[in-house]
Amino acid sequence: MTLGAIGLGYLALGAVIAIAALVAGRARASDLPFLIVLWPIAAPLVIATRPPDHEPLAAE
Amino acid sequence: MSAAVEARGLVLLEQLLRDRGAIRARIAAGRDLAALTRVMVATIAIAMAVVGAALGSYRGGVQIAYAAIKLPLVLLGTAALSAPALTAIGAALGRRARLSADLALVITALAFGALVLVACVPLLMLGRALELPYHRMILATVAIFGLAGVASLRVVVTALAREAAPGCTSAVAGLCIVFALVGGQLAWALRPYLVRPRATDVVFVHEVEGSLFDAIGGALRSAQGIYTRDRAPLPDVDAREVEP
Repeated sequence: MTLGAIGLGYLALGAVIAIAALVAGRARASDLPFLIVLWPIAAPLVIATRPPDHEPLAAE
Repeated sequence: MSAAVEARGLVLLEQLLRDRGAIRARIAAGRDLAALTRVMVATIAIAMAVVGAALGSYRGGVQIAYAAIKLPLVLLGTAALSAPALTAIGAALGRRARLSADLALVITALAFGALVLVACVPLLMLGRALELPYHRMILATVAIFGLAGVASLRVVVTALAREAAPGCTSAVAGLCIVFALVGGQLAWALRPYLVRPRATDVVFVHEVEGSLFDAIGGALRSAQGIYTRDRAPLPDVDAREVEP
């Protein structure tokens, strides 16, 4: 297996995770690059720590 | 990027350099770790690109761009693949599992190390200006990266020492081993970074030819005077010189 194939597989998995997180409302569009490129780190941080979008906004 | 986000990122960088206690407290409290990690990832990417460009400038030309692209990939790729080891090994040894905080801590530590490396870039440029021989330049680079590694490790150890939880020391040792193995192999796969100035052709990455451990074995054998090839490869200068 070549380095390029491994890299593409890595990015494809990141894209799947990013789309799933976006559909589930656990990530914003601005999180997508972070999720795709560094999903082993970004997925626990973005998905596990961000509440669903329906949570009411806190007053400033 | 808005001015507010940019200013917050710069505040985090200043904290990383001057007040790491505040960063540690933020990580321990689990406060907005995603934003912190994003800033640290950007710091690593930019800092390592600068360091890569400095290494590439030893040969110059397109190697500057190649090394500037590859070095951030090596560090971020290694971090992505090995940072979860801190949580996994710690949990296996009885430490409370806090994956998000551990990931943020490891990335923060690596960002600090990347900033130490950037601070050492003038030394690399000095070596280039003095036309330091290739092998001495390699040794200087290894020394500088070793210094940055120690600085990064200190950030992790200091943060975990405050936990005083069982399995912390073993978790850090395990992280170091996993990081060294993954980082070594990834860096090996994406070499070269520092290329001899006399090299006529440079490649983005070498062909896959064994692993890092094969290369270490080969280097040890050649250090003992055991060679498996007749001569070291040289650029085809002689052939071009004799051409009419």
